[in-house]
Amino acid sequence: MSQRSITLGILMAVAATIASAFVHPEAQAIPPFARKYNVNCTACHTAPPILNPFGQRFLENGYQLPGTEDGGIIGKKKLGDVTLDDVTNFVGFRMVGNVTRSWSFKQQNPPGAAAGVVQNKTEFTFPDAFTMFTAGTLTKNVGFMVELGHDVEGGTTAVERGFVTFNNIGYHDLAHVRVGRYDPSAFYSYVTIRQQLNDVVESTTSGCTPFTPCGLNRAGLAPSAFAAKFYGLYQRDGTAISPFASSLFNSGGETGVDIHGRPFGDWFLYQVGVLNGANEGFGDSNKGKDIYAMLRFDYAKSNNFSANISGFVYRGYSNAKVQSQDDVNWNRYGLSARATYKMVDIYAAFAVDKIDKTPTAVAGLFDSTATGLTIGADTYVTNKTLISLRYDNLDAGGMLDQRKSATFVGLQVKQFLRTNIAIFARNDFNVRKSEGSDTAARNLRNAFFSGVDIVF
Amino acid sequence: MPLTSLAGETGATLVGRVVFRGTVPPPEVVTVTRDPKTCGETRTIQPLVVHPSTRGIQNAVVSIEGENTSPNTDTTKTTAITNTQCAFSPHVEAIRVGTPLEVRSHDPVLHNTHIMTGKRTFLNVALVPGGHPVAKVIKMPGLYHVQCDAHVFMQGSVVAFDHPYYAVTEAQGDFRIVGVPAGRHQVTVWHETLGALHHEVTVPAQGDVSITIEFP
Amino acid sequence: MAMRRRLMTLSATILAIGLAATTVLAVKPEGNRATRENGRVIYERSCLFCHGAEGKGDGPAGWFIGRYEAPHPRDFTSEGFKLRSTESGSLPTDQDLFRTVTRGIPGYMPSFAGLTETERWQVIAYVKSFNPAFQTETPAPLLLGGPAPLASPTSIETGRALYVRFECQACHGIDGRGDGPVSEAGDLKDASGLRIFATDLTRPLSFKNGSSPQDLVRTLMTGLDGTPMPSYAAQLTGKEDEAWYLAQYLLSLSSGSFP
Repeated sequence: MSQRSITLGILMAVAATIASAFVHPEAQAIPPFARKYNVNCTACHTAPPILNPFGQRFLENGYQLPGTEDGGIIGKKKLGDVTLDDVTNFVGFRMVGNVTRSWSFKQQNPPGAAAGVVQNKTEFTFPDAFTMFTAGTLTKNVGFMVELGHDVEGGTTAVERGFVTFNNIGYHDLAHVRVGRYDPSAFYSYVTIRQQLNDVVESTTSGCTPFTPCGLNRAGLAPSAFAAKFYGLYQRDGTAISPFASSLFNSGGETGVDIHGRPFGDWFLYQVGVLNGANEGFGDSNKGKDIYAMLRFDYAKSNNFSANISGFVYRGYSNAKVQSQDDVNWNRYGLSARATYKMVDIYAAFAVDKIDKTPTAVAGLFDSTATGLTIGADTYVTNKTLISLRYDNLDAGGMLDQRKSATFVGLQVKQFLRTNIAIFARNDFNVRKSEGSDTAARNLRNAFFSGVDIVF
Repeated sequence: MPLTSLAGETGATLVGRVVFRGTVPPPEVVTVTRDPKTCGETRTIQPLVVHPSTRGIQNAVVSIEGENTSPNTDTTKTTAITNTQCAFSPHVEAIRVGTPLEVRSHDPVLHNTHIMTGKRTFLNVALVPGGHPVAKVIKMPGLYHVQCDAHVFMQGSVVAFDHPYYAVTEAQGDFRIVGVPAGRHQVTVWHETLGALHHEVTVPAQGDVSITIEFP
Repeated sequence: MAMRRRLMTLSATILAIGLAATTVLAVKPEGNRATRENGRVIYERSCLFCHGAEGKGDGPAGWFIGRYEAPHPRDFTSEGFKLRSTESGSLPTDQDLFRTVTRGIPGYMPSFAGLTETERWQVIAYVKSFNPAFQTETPAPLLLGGPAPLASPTSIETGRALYVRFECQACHGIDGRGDGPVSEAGDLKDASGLRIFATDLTRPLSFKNGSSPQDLVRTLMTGLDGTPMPSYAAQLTGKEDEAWYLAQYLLSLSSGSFP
């Protein structure tokens, strides 16, 4: 950790302590579902956005309280219309991101810099991501979710997720259907969009051309188990796929249809789905659909303890291309587990990515197997302080001359000033030996972030 | 309360003393932050009261496993805990199931008498200056913890029995239980900080039996 | 809520004059084995995550409700109940439990009005089976006294005097913000020894036992078992009007609307 990072870290901690001293401990402000049900975030979350078992069942049940089909109860005013008073029960905002970032590199591709030079760079930023989401139930057993994400730095706004749910089809908990653009891993033991350490996207050189390797300035910091893992893999339109991007089953948003339920009681959850498939250009009719299936086993009874384990198979059909523009079938097999006991929450995910047949054009130049392991832990050390740890190991695949495996450890301290306002300080460091410019994926030695997380 | 028992006058009388020869831990001195005019500026909390010459322990509860578990027929008797100068008087009370326990206050400040058995509330009532006492019949044997939430240093205990063979030790550590049936009995001694101790005793049909029970 | 109460009053009236109410209203099922079994299924879907499979308040999501502080989910097996219409230390009536399940507890427990009335009675029958005391004790509601007097400047002023005489400010603060010296000192603990904070009386929507004048009078009379809030029943018996005045004063502390 650089001197500057340490100073910033201490400043953050001091600021957090001072700020928290002025805040009444009972202060409660609540996002939309909490508002609708008049409960604190802690009813459903271990630490937002991570869900506790009650929150998981609420999600599974299509935003209805577990065991109920209460979707219609707030729509019953007058003629069944939803009035402006109800809007706060449906709409929420989250602003999260770093306000300072400090990087320590071994040469970040600057022209004229000698190989092996260590550089530090600190920048002040605006909180990166602003999300507006509206979610709820339209009537009994029909729910919806739309999430708009605005990336302040990139200047883009996009529908991250937008889908409709039809719940309790047949009988209670037999089948719940989601249609639209959703996160397939919503019911996985380790959910892509619910993490304490937010993704830090990689930095690439600008002006990348289709089907040519896109130069990397700096590695991304994202869970390796969910990442694309391959170097030299392209979307069907030729855009390079980031090896760090959450993808396939673990994508944050894909378009398709998905069914889940617990027809055999509480122990097992099944999930099957069909997706247009990762990385398909609109109207590309040559491509087959991707399919997946997930099975999850739950133990959640008493003693403030819960544990679950889940595994999935994801089969892709012509869902990516290699440099030679040949289609490949990109598949993933994953296993994940989570255990929670009182203040301690531990989870892990492992995934093997496999490309069915290496096209002859890249034969011998392409490693068709890659793996990723992510282990995380969160613990409340006081009622207002959450410590999170994440370990990532990416055993990269793809073009042998480009691929670079990476191992990172991240540690974050989050101080809640109110239940919905937190400040955090985070540090990620490279466990492997950092290398110079030709291996940009491994040139990052250390990264320090401090920022805010506000949800209302 | 000490030196008497509710048992009948037939049978033997068990007399004795509960002693403690170890080192008594120093008392805890608490600074009073509320109502110092009534409660004093500081309070000295010493739950283990040992008589300097006899080494007898005050406020230990001695009881014999009851054979006579017949219901309490004497409903006229009331046992009271009084809030006085920010303390419960008596500090330790023994009571027979079926007897009303009355709580009252002589202090010119607000007290609440909060009595719990395990995690269940038996009674939690506000006692305002000049207000009414409150009585409630104890129906379950066991240990009841007494506290005042407004003055956390106020603590006390009530032990309820479904038989008449019990007594609370007095200042010199002495106790006396009358009307004990003949036979072998297990005597139990309980003290709020020292815990429970068991002692075997054989009681004749008539006369006195004297025992000394020592806490290790 | 007012609608519901009106509905219940209406239903009581209908029953009292002996009409065939069964055709109109869901019937409270008998507390037999079949009812409890139905209740178990609902409990395990809806309640278990916080209250635990054995009703000990130790469900897999339960710790997070208050984390290191109160409240934690109710332990049905051994604890008392906070929200009752019965005297301090007593069990709640079925109607008390029904009210809690239906309304929820602001901040901590969602309303389960999404369950049908019959389902709510079934789950209550199951919850009662966790504590054997429900078989030996017959909780009786306290009488809350006559009709509520209308609030007036005088009645609110009387209520304020009672607030001071009852030393409510010791915990709730002189402005009712929950910042009284005993609460601020960290002296208040719940039955499990967890730190508990005095309610901020200026925020009626957060009142766990409800915020209508009737709700406040009930809380004053019964206390909240398992918390430091005592019952003032003995001080208010025969002076029911005073309880209403105090409730009126408490509600005058908040600017917001209340049901």
